[in-house]
Formats: sequence, C-alpha cells, structure tokens
Amino acid sequence: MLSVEALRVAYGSLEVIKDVSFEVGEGEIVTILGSNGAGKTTTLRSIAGLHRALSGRVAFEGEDIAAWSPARIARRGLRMVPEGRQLFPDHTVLENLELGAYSRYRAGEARSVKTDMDDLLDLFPRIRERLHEKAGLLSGGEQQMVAISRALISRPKLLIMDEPSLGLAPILIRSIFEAFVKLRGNGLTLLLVEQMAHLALQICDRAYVLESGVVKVSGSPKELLANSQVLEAYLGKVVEA
Amino acid sequence: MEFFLHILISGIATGAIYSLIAVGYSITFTTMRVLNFALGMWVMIGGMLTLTLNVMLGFNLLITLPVLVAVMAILGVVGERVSIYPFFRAGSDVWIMSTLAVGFLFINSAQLIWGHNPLPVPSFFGDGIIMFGPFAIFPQQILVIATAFVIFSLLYLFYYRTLLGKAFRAIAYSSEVTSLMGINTRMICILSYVMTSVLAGVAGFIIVPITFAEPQMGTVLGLKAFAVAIVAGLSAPRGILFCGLAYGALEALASGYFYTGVRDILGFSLMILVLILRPEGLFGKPTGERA
Repeated sequence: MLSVEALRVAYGSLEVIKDVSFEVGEGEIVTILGSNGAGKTTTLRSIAGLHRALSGRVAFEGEDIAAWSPARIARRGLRMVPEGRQLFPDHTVLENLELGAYSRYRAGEARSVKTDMDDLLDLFPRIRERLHEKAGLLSGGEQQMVAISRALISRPKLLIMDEPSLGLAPILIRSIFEAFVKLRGNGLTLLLVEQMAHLALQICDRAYVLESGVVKVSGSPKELLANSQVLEAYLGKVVEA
Repeated sequence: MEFFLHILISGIATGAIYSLIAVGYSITFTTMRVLNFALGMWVMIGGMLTLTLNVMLGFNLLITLPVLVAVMAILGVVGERVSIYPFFRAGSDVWIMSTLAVGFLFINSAQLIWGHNPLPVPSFFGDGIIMFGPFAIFPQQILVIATAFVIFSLLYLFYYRTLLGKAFRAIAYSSEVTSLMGINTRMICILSYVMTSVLAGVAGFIIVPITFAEPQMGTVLGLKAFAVAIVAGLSAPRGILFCGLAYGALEALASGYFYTGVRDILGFSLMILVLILRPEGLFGKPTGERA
C-alpha cells in the first residue's frame, strides 16, 4: 500500500534522513522504532507532504505522492496524526471532528459522516460526553482519542501515527493500542512511530529500526526479539519492565 | 445634553466605519498573519465605484452593490496574487510594502480617472433628518451603524456556524495541521483576502455619501481603523466592533468639547499606549509562537 524507497530528507544543509526504505502492506500494522533524533518524525512528515524530500520515492497505492501537497495526500486517503495530537484547542471536540471530515462534507457526504461519527464515539465513548467542550481542555488521553477520531472520520486507507503514547498514562496507552488492533480488524492499515518499543512490538506485524537516518534492522517482532542484543544496541532495554 | 447626544451619535457612526474597515485587517491576519496595509485605499475604490455606477451611470443601489462586490472580489484575487502570495510563500515580510504599493497605485489611478476634487454622492435615503425626541440623526448614519452590526453578526455566524469559517479559525492555530485535514489552505488564504477586499468595498459604498468621493477619502480612515484593530487586538472581531464604536465616540467628544486637533493625537497615542501595555490588544489573547 505504501512503499518508500531510498528516501533522503534534509533540514537546510543537515541531512536527517540518509537512506530509508520500507513497505507497508494492506491490512498491516508496521512500526518504525528508534531513539530520539533517529529521524522517525521527519520520515513521517515527508510522507505526509509536510516536508519535501531531497530524493527518493514515496508511492501510495502505486501513485508517486512525493511532490503532492499535504491536503491532496490527506484527501487521497493517507492521514497522519501528528506528534502531540495537535488538536485545534479553541474549537470544540465536535468541530475538530467536523474539520477532519472537511472534504467529505464538501463531497456531500454529511449523512454518512454522521453515522461514522456515531461509530467512532462508540469506539471512544469517553469523548462522546465532551463533544461540546473546547478540545484544549481535555486530558491528554482524551485528546489522543479525538486526534485519532479526527483522522478516522475521513475514512482513510492508511493511518499514520506519530508517537501515540507520548505523555499518556499506561492504562490509556494500552486502550489506545487495543483500539489500533480493533481498527486493523476493520480493514485499516497502520504505520506507527513509537518510542515504547515493547508495546509496539506486541501489536505490529513488522518493524523497522531507524538510527541516524538509516534503516538498520527490520523484521517481524519475533525475529527482532529473538535477536534482542541488536535491538537493544539501538533502542536500549526493550523487554517490558 | 442635546449637544452631547448629537456628538455621541455622529461619533458612533464614524466609529462604525472604523470597525468595518478594522475587521478587514483582522481577517487576513487570522489566516495568514498578513495585513493589507492599504485597506483605506480599497475603501476609496469602493466609494469611487459607487460614484461611477450610482451617480455617473445612474444604476440604482440594488444594481450598484452587487456589481461593486464583484469588482472588489476580482481586485481582491489579483491583489492577493501580486502583493501577498509571492512574499508570503517565500516567508518574507515584503508584503508590508507591496500592499501599500497597491494602495498608492489605487490613489494615483483614481486621480487620473476621477480627478482630485471631492464629488458628492447622494445619501441613500435622502438628506432629511430623523428626530429622535430631542436629537437629530441622519439616515445615512443609522445605515452605517446598522451595517456594522449586521456585518459583524454575519462574520460571527461565519466563523462559528459554517465549516469554512471553522477552517479559517483552524488555520489561525496552525496552517500545517489544517492542511493535514485535507483542507486546501491556499484557497482559504485567497478567500480571506477577497473577503477583506469586498468588506472594504462595502464600507466605501455606505460611507461615500458622508465623506464625498475623492481619491484620499479612505487614507486617514484606513490608518485610524488600523489603530482600532491594534487597540482591540487583531484576533478579536467583537473587540474590534466595540473599540471602533468607542473610539469614534471618544474622538467626536474630544473634538466637540476641546478642539479638532486633539482628535488624531488621541487615537494614535492610545494605540502606542496599548502597544506598550498590552501588545496583543485589549481584547486579544496573548499568542505564543504559531505551530
């Protein structure tokens, strides 16, 4: 579904991504692991169109999207939930969801958006009660649920999540990861960047380990955990504490 | 007391004009953090178009207004393309000069087309005076005040009740995140500029019977409206309405009870004072770095 080949990205003269290639197949959960500054977020940002790559190919369902605008990429069905949620804090929760469905409303799908919204609120019942509150007033976990819903309401084919666990209580992290598995069961494909390697490895089909802008190791969670010295060399302790 | 009320009402009418222009600054500031510094000159173009269509060509107001709106919208699209987009995209601040350049182009063209002399445009409802008990008010003044309230209400409904308006507010928070929603942010920036152009044109339309039509009719108005927008806070439309009206009233009272020269000193001193004490404006929220 998504195939990234020989991606190179720079900020000014600083080359952050030197050689990144990976694949995400339909219906998979794929994780990119790596320590701080390994280039995970930059990789995601260039896939979403927020940062132009120096070279390399980003193909989404066979189309080269490397030169597309972020809005066009999002409308094509590739949605990113940015690091730190990035809800519109002065908009209500409902308004945040409406903005997520912007292009669907423009396409005249108001009715099916309504039913999708109900389904999402069943998935995350906690945010149903807070629909009319300003998103900035919600707790971190609730904000993450709204951020995920805001992406899902557009019916994406591929959901990209940057550090979904960041700043959340362990119990919430667990329920959000459970939601990912549930969503995959409904046919969604997920690409996940995560520092909590042990959690990500529990739910993903394949993982890539990034260091200094280069993919160092890749494989199934089983393969990676079997070779835990390699993994620990890049990530520190991975085994669940 | 009658003198006081009379001055107050005409001051509020002038203030309504300031608010109408001032809110134009706030709209593009919301979407792009960019200002059309020549908004007063755009107001003048609205006035001149009213003169041409209504007085010279003899169209009635119901035809004049839509034609004016269409012309202002086209000018808005062109103006954004030449004076904002090239610089905004490059992250440069040259739009400060380029928007002014468009304004001077307008003034000079207006002098060539319509000459230097102030030309009268008749009031929309005649020049009769309406008596409210003891004090008198011109119908055009009522119209200006009413228009300000209608336009501010519509703007509020737009920002909070329509999806497009919600997207305007979203861009104010982060253009990047808004684009991740699949929203064409470039389109919204153009649209916001066109909205200010049309608003300025409509302001010119309703005030020209009061100010007379001449190439400099909007220049000082635009500057004072800018002071109002800064005092209120560029991100606070409701504050702008209030401050505009208050500023007009204060100005009228000051020049009525002291002398006319006090008028302009007052406004701009106030602006500088607010900039020192509360840079985000009296009604503005302090803004951090934009994401």
